[in-house]
Amino acid sequence: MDQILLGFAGLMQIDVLLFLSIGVLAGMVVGSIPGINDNIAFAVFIPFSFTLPADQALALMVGVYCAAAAGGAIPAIMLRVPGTASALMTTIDGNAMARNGQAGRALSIAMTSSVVGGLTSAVVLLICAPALAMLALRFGYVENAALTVLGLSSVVGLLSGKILKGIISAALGLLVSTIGFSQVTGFPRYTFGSINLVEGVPFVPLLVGLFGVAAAFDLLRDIIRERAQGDAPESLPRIGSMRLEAGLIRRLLPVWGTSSAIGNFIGVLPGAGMLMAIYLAYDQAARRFQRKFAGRPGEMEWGKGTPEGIAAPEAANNAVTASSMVPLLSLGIPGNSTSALFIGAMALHGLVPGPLLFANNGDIAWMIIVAFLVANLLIWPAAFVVIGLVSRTIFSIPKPVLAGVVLLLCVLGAYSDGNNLFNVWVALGGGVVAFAMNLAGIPLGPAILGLVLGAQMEASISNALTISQGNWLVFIDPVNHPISAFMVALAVVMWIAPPLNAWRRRRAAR
Amino acid sequence: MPNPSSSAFAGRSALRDADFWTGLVLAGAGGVALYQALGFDGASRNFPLIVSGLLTAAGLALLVRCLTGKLTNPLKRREMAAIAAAIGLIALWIVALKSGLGFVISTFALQLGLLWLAGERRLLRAALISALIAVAAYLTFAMLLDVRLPRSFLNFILPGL
Repeated sequence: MDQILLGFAGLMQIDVLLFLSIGVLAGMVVGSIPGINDNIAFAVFIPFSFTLPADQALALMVGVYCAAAAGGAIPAIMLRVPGTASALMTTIDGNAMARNGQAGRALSIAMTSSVVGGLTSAVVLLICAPALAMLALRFGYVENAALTVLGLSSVVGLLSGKILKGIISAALGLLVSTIGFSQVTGFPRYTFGSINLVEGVPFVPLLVGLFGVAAAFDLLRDIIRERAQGDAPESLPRIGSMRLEAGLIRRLLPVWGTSSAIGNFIGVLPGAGMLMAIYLAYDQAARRFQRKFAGRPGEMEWGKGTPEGIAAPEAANNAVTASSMVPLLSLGIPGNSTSALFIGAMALHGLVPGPLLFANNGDIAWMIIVAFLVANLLIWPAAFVVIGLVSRTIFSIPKPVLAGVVLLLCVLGAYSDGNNLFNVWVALGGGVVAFAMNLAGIPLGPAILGLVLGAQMEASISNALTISQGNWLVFIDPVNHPISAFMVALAVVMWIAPPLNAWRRRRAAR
Repeated sequence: MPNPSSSAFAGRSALRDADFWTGLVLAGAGGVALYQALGFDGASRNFPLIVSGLLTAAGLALLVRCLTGKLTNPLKRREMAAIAAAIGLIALWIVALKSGLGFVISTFALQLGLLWLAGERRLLRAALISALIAVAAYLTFAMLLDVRLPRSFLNFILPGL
């Protein structure tokens, strides 16, 4: 309880609260720009956090993260174009409801669902992260090595038929993590004589490139594609009343509960991401709708403007935001790509996520947790401001201008990390690699995990083997290292389960 | 056994496949990394050796799968050309900044090029937007955020130029 109060004390300073509010408002605005996802929003805001003290900068980033996920619903409903990928399913029923003259109602359902999902997620973060961090503090080299293997393996089950490309991605990330002085002996590796690489590839510029620059290239490609197809923008529907009646709230309560639970569960799994959460939540909401409401008089068909079709994905995507910070803050393993960018934001202020964060920088760790709670409460007023005052202006920004501005902000963000042009080359290289990976259908998640976990994996395995005099069985010793044995067993299950399932499906189909 | 004409067709279509080029680049990069890792000292080489070996093997597997299977990831030349041009523009922007051309002029040229690539053909409008973005970025980063932008040899005319 004392720690929670410590977090509130840190957050309730006027300047910190102000930056959290700015973050929420800015995240809502950026999230509502079609084509700008939460990763780009984050990458774009990194340069602005350079000059701020750690608490203000991280409050700003928490605000951006939470609100960008919610803001994506605004263009999804108004334009049938998801502002962020996480609002993909909201376009179906959201835009249908808006075209039926109930845009205000659709927006209101989306924002309320986002707030509900986000608040449950903040509670999960509040409870789980410190508890997991306490457990992780007891980890030695053996357990840490097993943890990194488990962290990397956790994405394997989510690759559905892309195992080879997942391995490529992870190997790429791990290989990049070996660049620079060896942590074991200090031997310079893959530096090619460059002094800029002796401490490894600059992390923040690389992340800005992998997410921001690559996304700007994607945006440019979309513009060219749309121009070739001659897509014309649709007119905006009238917003109308945003009031939600009590009956509708009662009807949506079970959907919010289930979708939030799904979002929270997916969120704490490293590498799972929002998309899986929104698909699962949308699917369960569809089943419930067919069971309870389909065919009733006055009831819409599924996909034609049902409230559940908006509530489920929106509650699920915001339920991922804070819960994806659980493995990051407690174990140092990013839950999704945006939380990986959070590592960069923290690194700029000399903070390292993981169990020691609570011991060494408890005030900041608790402030971040509490900020997630407050940021979700601020989403509602921010949504009112954005929907009512600036959404029409935002929708009129030409995409070509947007692509240029995003690209410029990303490269400037990379440059600002030490005022070094080498960092811009790194961001450009990262952008090119991530864009090429996207083209080839190689998932980025395993590469990020490899990048983040690589150094820790190498050092822990090396130290564990030195202590155990080269005994590899130390990692599966159930007597002296039961936690490590359990984590390795879990990792093995994660590797075996997908091909085994595929084999069983093929056999059943025959 | 595949007939020669179908193999030739598979080979031709593989050249248009993103997987083919990805496999080739990764196998090559992995091979170079593997070769380099052999020169590291004993304790520092194990991890890079394993990882680069894995990357090489996975790249080769992708290449083989692409050559023996059907076209899965076709590349669109027009889009690729635009992205390649954008990459070239950013590289030129970095070189211009390094050679002291100055932030505002370099950024103006970068934005103009990006707008043209994105299909904006009205030159005056594009120039106005580019100038606005360049000046706004200079004011935000150099003045507001106090970022030390690269020095320009035209600084004596106007700061940031």
